[in-house]
Amino acid sequence: MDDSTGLLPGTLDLLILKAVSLGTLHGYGVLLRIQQITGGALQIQQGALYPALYRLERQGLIDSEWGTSDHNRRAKFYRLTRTGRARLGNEAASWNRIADAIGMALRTTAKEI
Amino acid sequence: MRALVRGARAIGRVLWRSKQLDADMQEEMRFHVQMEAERLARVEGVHPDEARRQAYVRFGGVEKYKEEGREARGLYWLHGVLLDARLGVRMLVKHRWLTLVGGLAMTVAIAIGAMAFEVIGDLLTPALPFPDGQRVVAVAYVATKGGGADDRVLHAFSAWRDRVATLEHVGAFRDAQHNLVAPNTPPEPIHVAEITASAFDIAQAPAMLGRHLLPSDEEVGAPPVVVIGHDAWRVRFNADPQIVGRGIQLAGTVHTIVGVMPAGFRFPIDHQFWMPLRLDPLKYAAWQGPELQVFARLKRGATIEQAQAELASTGRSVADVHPDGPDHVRPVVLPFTRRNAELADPMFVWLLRAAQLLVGALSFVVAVNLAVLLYARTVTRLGELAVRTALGASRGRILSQLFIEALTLTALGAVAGLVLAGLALQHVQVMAYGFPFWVHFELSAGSVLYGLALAVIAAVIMGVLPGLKATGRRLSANLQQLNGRTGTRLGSLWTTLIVAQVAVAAAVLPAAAYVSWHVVQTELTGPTIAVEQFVVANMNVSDEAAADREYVRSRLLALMGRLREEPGVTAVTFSSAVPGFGRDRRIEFPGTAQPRDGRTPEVATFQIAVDLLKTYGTRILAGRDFDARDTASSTAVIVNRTFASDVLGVPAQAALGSRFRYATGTDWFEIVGVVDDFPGFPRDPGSETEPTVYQPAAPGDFHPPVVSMRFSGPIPERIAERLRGVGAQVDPGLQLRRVVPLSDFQDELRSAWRSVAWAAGIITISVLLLSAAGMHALMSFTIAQRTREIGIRSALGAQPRQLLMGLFGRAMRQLSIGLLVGSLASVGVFAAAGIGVRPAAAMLLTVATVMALVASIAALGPARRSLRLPAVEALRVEG
Repeated sequence: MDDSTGLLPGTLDLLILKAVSLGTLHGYGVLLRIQQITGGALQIQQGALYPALYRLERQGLIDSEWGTSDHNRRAKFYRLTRTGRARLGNEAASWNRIADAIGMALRTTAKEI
Repeated sequence: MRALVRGARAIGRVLWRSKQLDADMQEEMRFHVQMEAERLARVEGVHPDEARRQAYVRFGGVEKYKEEGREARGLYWLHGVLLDARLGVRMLVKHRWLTLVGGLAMTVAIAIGAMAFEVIGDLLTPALPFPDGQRVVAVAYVATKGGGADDRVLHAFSAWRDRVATLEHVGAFRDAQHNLVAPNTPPEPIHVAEITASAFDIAQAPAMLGRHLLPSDEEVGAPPVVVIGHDAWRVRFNADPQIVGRGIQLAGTVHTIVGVMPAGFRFPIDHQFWMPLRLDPLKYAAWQGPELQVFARLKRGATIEQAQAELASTGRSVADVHPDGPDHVRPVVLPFTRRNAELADPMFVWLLRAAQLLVGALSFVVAVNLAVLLYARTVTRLGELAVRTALGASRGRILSQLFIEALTLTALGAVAGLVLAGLALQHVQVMAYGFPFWVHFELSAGSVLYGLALAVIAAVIMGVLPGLKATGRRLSANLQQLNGRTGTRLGSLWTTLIVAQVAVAAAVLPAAAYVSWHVVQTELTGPTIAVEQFVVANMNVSDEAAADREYVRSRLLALMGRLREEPGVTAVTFSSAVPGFGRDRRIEFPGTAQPRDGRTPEVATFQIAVDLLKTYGTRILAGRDFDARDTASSTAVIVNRTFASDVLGVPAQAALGSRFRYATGTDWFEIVGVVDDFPGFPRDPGSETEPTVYQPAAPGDFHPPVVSMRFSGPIPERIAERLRGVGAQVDPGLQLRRVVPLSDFQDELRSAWRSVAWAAGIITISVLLLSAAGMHALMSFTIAQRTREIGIRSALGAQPRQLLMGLFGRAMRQLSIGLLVGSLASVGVFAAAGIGVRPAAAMLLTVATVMALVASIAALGPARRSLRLPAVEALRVEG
């Protein structure tokens, strides 16, 4: 049985930012990195990655440059910009706050009320 | 700011690198799929072909993500716009006749719109180009019941200067012409502003050298001083830095130059010389004295309305009662610029504002015309549009495509039109020499924007309206029309529009053709006398001296005597106006001897020296020339040939003895001679020369006389300077204004008519082409509608001629109606212009023939196409 779950809306951008924050990656590398850091738990429609990458690039959160991949092929590499790093910090903090809050809410028992 | 830069970069990327970005995206996605396929083959052992298939499945719809990618890249709409624009350009090339016709019409319409916007905008400028220029106002008395202003306001001015609290620096000026006699330059009449020192406070412009005028200069008895402008300093005084303190002779008195104003300073109108205004109100009675223009600056915080209210309450009491009645005039305050553009009436200003916007609406009329043509094109593309709709394009998307296609055409027209307007304005600016200094006829950013806005609105009319109509029906049902032919009817609205367009063309063309014909005539026919032998000059004396008849007489006689001694001069004479440019007056005849058309005729009138006709070598056709017995008080007059033929409708001999009087006078005059028309400058279309009356006069009878000199050979170089030198020797106060060879007058007229002919020609061609294109569209539609019928009738053995008559009979009838209506309207135009029936009829007939010819040529293409169509193919077409 497939354990992976669909992405929550809006989280793909955050995951991409995180992935490229760990090192410069091409588009396919971003996918692999996300799968790696999420333990393959999240199901991503692969093609959806690209509109998201272009959107982030347009917002100035990531930057791109054409280069050569490990397989000696021409590929476009993405890296986090300074603005992107700041945004990632904010978004991550916000996400953690929400996750903590929801986690706390879900852990609450009747006795604790 | 950073976002702005990013946005600009994104637009730049989309505009310049759209294709490249698409290719990059494609390559990036291909790389992704290849990597995934290789991984699947390597890690999961899937066969390469299957791995590739699975990789595509996992990626999802490539095209869909490409679309999303383009959208995410931003400005996706711009990408669509560019695509549509490219398609639009392709359509322009494909339908090049439509492009030519539409482009030309749009060019002309937008050029006219932009020019009107610029010229009227300039005239309505409320502010002078000074600091606080918007607060500079004019104060004047206007007649309460119309009839203009009364500018003899010296008394009121003195009162306003002291008592009106809402105004500051109240001043006045009058424009005078004086002879300037500077060392090493010939005497020359120049415009001088006699002005109060407050003008310089209002302009807030310090002198470039020396000082400007001061209140102390205005005192009676103060030393005579003058301030000169930058241009005058540069041109007349070689930009001499030591000019201040030097003397120049003005109006016969030496004036000391006390300052030079900086470049660009030309207040109040277009002046380069300023003298103090020295007037003592005590010397004049109320409403007497020289005409003055009063100006002032609104005090900070005060409005024109407040100043107006204050004047209304105090103004009337401070000025003495007007001789024409206490309520004859009322004081007004208005922007200074309006006063000098003769725009005192606020209603007139509003009308001009409306005109400023509405002249541009001409381009909408053109747009509606083009919409008819585009509708014809759009309808032939219904199949294509239906396919796009079936593939998911919204109606809005299709309309935007049609809009952008139309915009490519109107934008082309706008660019060409703005260039044309710019060139025409340059031409106007050259002719508008002496216009107020704040008026610059050049294409401003506002006019360019206006022209572009016209193009956008025209594109909406041209593209969206036919698009709405064409896509309004159930478009999906039209997939069957993919073969490009359509059973859609043109519709009565569009047919009416085409017919109306033909009517407009038929109405406008005869007048335009008539004007053009007149210009051709002007170019071909020369004057009836040797104009190159004559030089004319206005002889002016000061206003005060002009009232002294004996002074004028003695100066004119002395001047003519001296001029006769000049080398090459064979004769000198004088008249009240330059020959060919008399003063128009209405005349009436005694009793039953009314002119043929029953209207009071308008004739050109001259007072001339008794030897003028002889000097000009004019042929006497009947009767006699003037001689010594004819004086200003005699009743003998001489008329020209046109007077006899056009006004009296008789040959020259029969005109002798006829009597008439001026509509404003009581004395009767008798025709004692008839002379040939001279100098034969065609003034208006419809008449080679004006009916003209010559009355005898002696020196001193009027002021200012125009002196004519006849030379035996070529006119010497620098004639104006020489003659002015002679004038100054006779009397330093004598001004010889506008010394020019008579041939220059003829050239000016020709040049003016040539400009009119160019404008008329361009408009005529665009109107003719537009209506030809409309007729072509109508014919094409008729064919498209009846292709099946053609097939059947052709299969049944119908003769081509019968077939054509049947096909085009209705369309031709419609066009005939248009022609008829237009011709009738044209008759009205000619009648209003006072042009005779005979030339008008000839012109109407010519134009109607040309239009019919154009209609036939326009119909020829569709007709030949229809007859060439094989019957079987025609039958296949859905009827």
